[in-house]
Amino acid sequence: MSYSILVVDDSPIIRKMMKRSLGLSKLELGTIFEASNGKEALDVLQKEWVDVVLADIHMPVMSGTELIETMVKDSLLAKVPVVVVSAERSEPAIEHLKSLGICAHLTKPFTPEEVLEAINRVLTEAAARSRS
Amino acid sequence: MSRLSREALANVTRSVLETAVFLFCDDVPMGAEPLKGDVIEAVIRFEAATSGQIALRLPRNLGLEAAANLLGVEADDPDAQESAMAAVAELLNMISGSALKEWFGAQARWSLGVPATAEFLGRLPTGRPQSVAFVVDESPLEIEVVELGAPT
Repeated sequence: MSYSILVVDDSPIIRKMMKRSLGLSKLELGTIFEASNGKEALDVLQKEWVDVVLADIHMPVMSGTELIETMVKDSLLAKVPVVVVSAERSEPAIEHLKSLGICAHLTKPFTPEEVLEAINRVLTEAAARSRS
Repeated sequence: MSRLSREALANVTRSVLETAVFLFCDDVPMGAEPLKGDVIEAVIRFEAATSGQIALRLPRNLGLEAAANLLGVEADDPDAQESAMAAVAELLNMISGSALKEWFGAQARWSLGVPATAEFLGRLPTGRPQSVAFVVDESPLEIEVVELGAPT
């Protein structure tokens, strides 16, 4: 089984870094989609099957928080695991994201290994849920 | 006294550059060359108990090195060549997130904007500039915070 991943970040270099990291992993990858803000991410999610979303928070047009708030209101999108990868360090803001049901929060700067570990954990948990 | 501590800004800048792009900050020696020539500037706005903006300025060659290290490629790789400005913007984003936590505390709420990059313009709004200068791989680097007063 291959996994499709959506990388949402307004920084083109972070999107490249994520794609390179994913390419070096042992994950069986399907398509790696990219979006530069929450609105573009929703467009992808409405058209494509995505197994995990990696989302930044501070983005123009639509922030990562607004993206997640929109996803949790949709019965289908609410089931897509979200890993937040951002420079956000405000505990109340991170707590709000956790209350929305994000699977993990990684703080920039991060290592490729940290991202891959988070994705592996999220996919393993998702597989366990689907079996139960 | 401003709560936007220059020392905290220096510490988080050192830490982010080391962790994210394996670049090490040295103190500026007497008579060191100032920033000039082909300089990239990234600026980001923030609002917390006070508002302000943070600017990061460094020569393009250092931006290129940062981009290459972020991507794990050589500096002559086309991906690094086209990513120097994006790398400077991302470094500023990381530095700012850490600086805000140091300045206002982890329990505070704040708003951090999106970094804007440009060729060096050399002008910032008037305020209370607090800049920190380093030498990184023999290149000058400057980070500056300007307090703009109560948030809007």
